[in-house]
Amino acid sequence: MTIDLRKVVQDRGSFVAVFGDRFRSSAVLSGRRRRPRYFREHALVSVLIILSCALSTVGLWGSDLTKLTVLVPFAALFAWLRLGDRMGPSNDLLFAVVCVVNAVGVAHGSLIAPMLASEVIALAGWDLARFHATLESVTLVNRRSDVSAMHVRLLLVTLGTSSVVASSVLFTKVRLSFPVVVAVTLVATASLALAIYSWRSESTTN
Amino acid sequence: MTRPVLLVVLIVTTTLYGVATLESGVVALAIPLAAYLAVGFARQPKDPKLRMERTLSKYHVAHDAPTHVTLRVTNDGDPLESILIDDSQSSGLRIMQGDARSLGPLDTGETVELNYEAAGNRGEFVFGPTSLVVGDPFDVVSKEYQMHAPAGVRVEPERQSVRQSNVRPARTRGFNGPIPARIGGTGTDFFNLREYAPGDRLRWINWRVTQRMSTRSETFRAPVPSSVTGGAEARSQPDGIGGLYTNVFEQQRIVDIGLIVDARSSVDFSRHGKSYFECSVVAANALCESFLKSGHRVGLLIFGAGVDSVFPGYGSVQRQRIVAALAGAKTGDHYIFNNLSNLPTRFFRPGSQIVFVGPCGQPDVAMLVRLRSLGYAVMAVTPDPTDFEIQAESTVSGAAGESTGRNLAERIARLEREQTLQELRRSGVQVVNWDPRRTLDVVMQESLRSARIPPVVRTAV
Repeated sequence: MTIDLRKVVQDRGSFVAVFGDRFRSSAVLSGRRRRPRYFREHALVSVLIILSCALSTVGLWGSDLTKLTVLVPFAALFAWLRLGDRMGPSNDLLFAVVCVVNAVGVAHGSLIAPMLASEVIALAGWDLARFHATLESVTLVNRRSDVSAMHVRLLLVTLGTSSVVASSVLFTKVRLSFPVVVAVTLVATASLALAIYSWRSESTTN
Repeated sequence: MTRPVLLVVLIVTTTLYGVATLESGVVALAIPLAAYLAVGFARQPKDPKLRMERTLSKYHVAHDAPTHVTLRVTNDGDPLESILIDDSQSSGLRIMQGDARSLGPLDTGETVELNYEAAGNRGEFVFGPTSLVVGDPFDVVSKEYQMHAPAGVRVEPERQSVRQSNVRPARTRGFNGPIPARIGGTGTDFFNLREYAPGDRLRWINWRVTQRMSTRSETFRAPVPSSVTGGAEARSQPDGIGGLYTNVFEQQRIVDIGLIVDARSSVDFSRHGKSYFECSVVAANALCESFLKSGHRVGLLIFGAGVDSVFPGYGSVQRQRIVAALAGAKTGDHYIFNNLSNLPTRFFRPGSQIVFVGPCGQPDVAMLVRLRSLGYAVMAVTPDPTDFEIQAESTVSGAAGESTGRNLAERIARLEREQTLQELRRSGVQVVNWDPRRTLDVVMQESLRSARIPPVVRTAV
């Protein structure tokens, strides 16, 4: 099989990828198992998801929901298997499951710090998965390094700030009056109804 | 479920769950999600002001040849943090090389350029709208816009070269060409003999006939026609120059040729993505090129859903007109053309050559015979539908019994077709039965070499 090095460089985006290809099996080169173009970023996403699952496990350990930790390695395994193809609803599903498990765990007396960290890392993984899938689908990325750097910087700032705010909420005991709680509940319910309505209308449109 | 909806659902359910359980920790978990969503909404772009232009390296390309497409998008408005330009679906062409999708930021006044090569099969392709997706960095809120940068490319039918064909219509035109005109004059082929007239070239004198006739003149002297004596009274042939005979050659002239392409979808079929009609188009294209190269006057009539015609003409401009018509030809049906007797035959000059390109089924025989009886010289170039179908079906393997049945069906189909073609040949129609696996030129030379030139039908027109 002849490999057009120029084409491989064009496709893979880096010279390192070319030499990486030289040592890979012919099955991969023939396209039976496609290797992502941005493999490092791809691997980083999986690592983040696995880390998030591990932190959830740590948080759940010792709480009322210790049995739930059995599910977490499965989620990690699932994340690893998703290495081949990150796009699709499964990624969203995994993120949603992590969020729900974290919330239920905290409500049942799990450690809050690992759960918060798990939530933040899961969010970062979910975002980067989407971002790199978009990059993967486009052959020409203008100023790719700038785009990646800007995205990561903004993500870090957002998550860092929000983590600080969340931690401060935890350490600051805020007592809310009953009317405020009712108002928050009403606003939240209205938002939920709006979100579900827009989701349903999108489904019917598609 | 889109990303913002998923985020809102997670934020709201977490918050409600926290309020219900009176756990501030649960509510705190919703804060990173809310911050993420808020940043996405805060950085959503305003309506962009973009300018787009498209240029093509070629607007007319040969079959499967690429054209280079350059698409430039310029931002005349506020800076955009992320814009996805997708031009891959704007036309039906295949992208052979280059980038038809681009992602990245676009500052004010900046231009992003997409370069790619696209190719396609026969047809006229118009570039449609280009998709532009503008969004925030987190892709929470993204808006899709469609922009037009109109351009079109015409992909010509596949080319095959065909040598000069053996056509002999009853009428020729006044200009010199390659077709023998059945009229004496200057030319290359011997046509007749006549007595020498002053002004004839000496090399045209047929010395053998002159010698033979001078021997016979002892017993018989032919009267000299008045044309030779310059209008003087006919008299007996004197000795001297009157005894010489010169060769008369057959004049060669150009002819009118009308190409008729059958584009009825009822007689077209496709097997494994290959259309029978494409074979007809390829044949018509090759014949048109050959006839126009020989200097003939060629017209085109494509009938199917309607009639698409190119009025007869000469030269390279006419060639471009016909190629354009063939490139855009599509199959279709119209009740008028269910029967070919409704073809507008007056479109072609009486006594001219008509070349019919199509499957020539049994119902079409009557029309072709009728054309012949009207005084047209008719040639039927017919891509063999039986071969076409058998070739396509042979790729599909079947059971042994099925194969026997197929062989029998193939035999019956071939016999039926041979009978139809024989009927046409008997009516004086020149038939070229083309197996598309072979080149048209070879098949035409074989078919027309062995076929006799049909007699001229003289009709009162």
